[in-house]
Amino acid sequence: MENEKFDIQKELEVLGDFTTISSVPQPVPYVYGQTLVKLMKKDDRIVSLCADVQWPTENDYIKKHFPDRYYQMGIAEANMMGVASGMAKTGDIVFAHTFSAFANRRALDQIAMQIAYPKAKVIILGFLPGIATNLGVSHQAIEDIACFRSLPNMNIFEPYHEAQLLPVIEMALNSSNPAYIRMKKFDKMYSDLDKTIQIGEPQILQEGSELAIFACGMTVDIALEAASEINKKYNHKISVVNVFCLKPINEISFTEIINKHKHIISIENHNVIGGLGSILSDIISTKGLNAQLTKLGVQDTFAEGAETDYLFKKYGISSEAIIKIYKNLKKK
Amino acid sequence: MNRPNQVSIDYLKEQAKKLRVHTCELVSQRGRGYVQQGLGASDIFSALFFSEMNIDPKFPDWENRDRLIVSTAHNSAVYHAALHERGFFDKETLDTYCQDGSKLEINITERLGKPVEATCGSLGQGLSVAVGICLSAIRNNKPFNTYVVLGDGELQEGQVWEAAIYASNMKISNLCMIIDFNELQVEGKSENAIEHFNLFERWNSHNWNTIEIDGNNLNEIIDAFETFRKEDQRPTVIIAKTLPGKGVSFLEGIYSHQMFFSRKASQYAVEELMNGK
Repeated sequence: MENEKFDIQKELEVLGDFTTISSVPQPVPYVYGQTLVKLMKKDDRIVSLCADVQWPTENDYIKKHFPDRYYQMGIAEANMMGVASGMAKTGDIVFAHTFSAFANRRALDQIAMQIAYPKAKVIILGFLPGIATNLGVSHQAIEDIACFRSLPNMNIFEPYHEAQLLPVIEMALNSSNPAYIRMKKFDKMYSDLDKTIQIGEPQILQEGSELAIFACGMTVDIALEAASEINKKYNHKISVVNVFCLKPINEISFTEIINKHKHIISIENHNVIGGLGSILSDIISTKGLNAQLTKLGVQDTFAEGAETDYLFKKYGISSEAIIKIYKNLKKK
Repeated sequence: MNRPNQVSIDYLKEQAKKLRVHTCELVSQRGRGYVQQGLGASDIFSALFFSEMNIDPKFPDWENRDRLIVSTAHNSAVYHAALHERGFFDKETLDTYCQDGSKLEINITERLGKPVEATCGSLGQGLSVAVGICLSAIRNNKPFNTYVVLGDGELQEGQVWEAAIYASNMKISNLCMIIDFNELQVEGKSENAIEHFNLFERWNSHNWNTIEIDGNNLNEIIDAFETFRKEDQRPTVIIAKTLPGKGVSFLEGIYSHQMFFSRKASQYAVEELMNGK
């Protein structure tokens, strides 16, 4: 112990990443940072803009590798979206980084006018998705999918697994539309890529009968956990669908899946108004499908600052909530 | 770098007069619009389009064109008139201004294609886009300048000051902002709405190359642009004091934002413009 020196600098470097999903400090594997750097090495046009959140958005990694292509924009998201548009219109490909809540609440007008309308080559990365932050209502984005979904020309992605991160960003890059990517920080680097996913298509993770759970982002693991529990307890295999692409939507593919089931559950880390549940309810009602939909998610209320596990349980974004619905369906 | 078009002040005055005539006629076709702002800004637009900017109407999307963003996108009559007079489109197209289906909307839009660089109208956004264009130009070694026209009313938007701080931090000297200081906003003269305090000092303190001029004096406008061209460290702001309704005696000094303007009023105005007072 005597030889071991306490290095405050080292401690602070680890603690610096205090706004991750968990408040327990963990070493950062830079899954996103490494991915973007990989792309920047391939394409000189890519630049990174960041509204004073380099650590929580892994832009410290980008700055280290490409100091000339990293732009510290200050605490000024509205300006950042305008600058992003100007750069994109002059030939750059712009990745703009902030928290989800600030992208959609503070800069929606700028995104609408300067990015969505002219289809500027901008990819907006919103970190701290939904209520997955202990920083409370100010930092929780429960309306971002609703806002961006109703903006023409915008693509919306939410990769659920680290293996989907690079494929999703490539999808965003290959589209002629700008994109919003709802980003959770991943805690381990991928070794393989999920090459099965396609833009606009739901990803069927497991196929079963009677009940299908549609989930996106952080709720996919919850859905899988519930499905496994149901399988164990009731010997019933249900379907689980990952909606990593929330816009565009291939309604035909969704319709095919819905038609094979009597009951649908949507589970989202978002308000139940305007998000995944609403996407499904639109399809069910406009296509006249015969399926009962239950929407799990934040039930049109503001949450509070607390640990994610606690909040997810409290607001019914949990495998328990799914299993409860399942039991009720069985009684009928 | 010299200004690309070496033309005389008299020539620019002549062009400004044409822009004023078009502005009156275009607004009167609809019966209501931004006639006061257009008349006030005609000298600025004349200087930009006929003297200052390096543009080619045959190739509106030429890579090295100077960029202009009109953040006061409602000042569209004079802007579209300038595009027509500079040869971007014919009179027939100009006359579709504000008609249903026309690409010449009352708020200037990218539907028209280049040289419209951004769709503003939601006030306070143009400067940020201009800053982005400048950054990209520097990063990619492109030689053009970027101009952006803001109204003084727009300075009430917070985003302008985000962009102001950022632009001077980035030392983008290829940026020239013109504040069309007409003191006119929806509720009338700005001193009756929200007053500006020490505008010169405010921009100067943000480390901008700050120039204050009479925006209806073409000599001063051209001199200001020359000062901009010599600057190699800071972004430039030209605070150009303009008079709403400038050039038509019975319109000068009327602070009306979207004024009713009949064909008859337009005829009187055009007659005065053509024949002098």
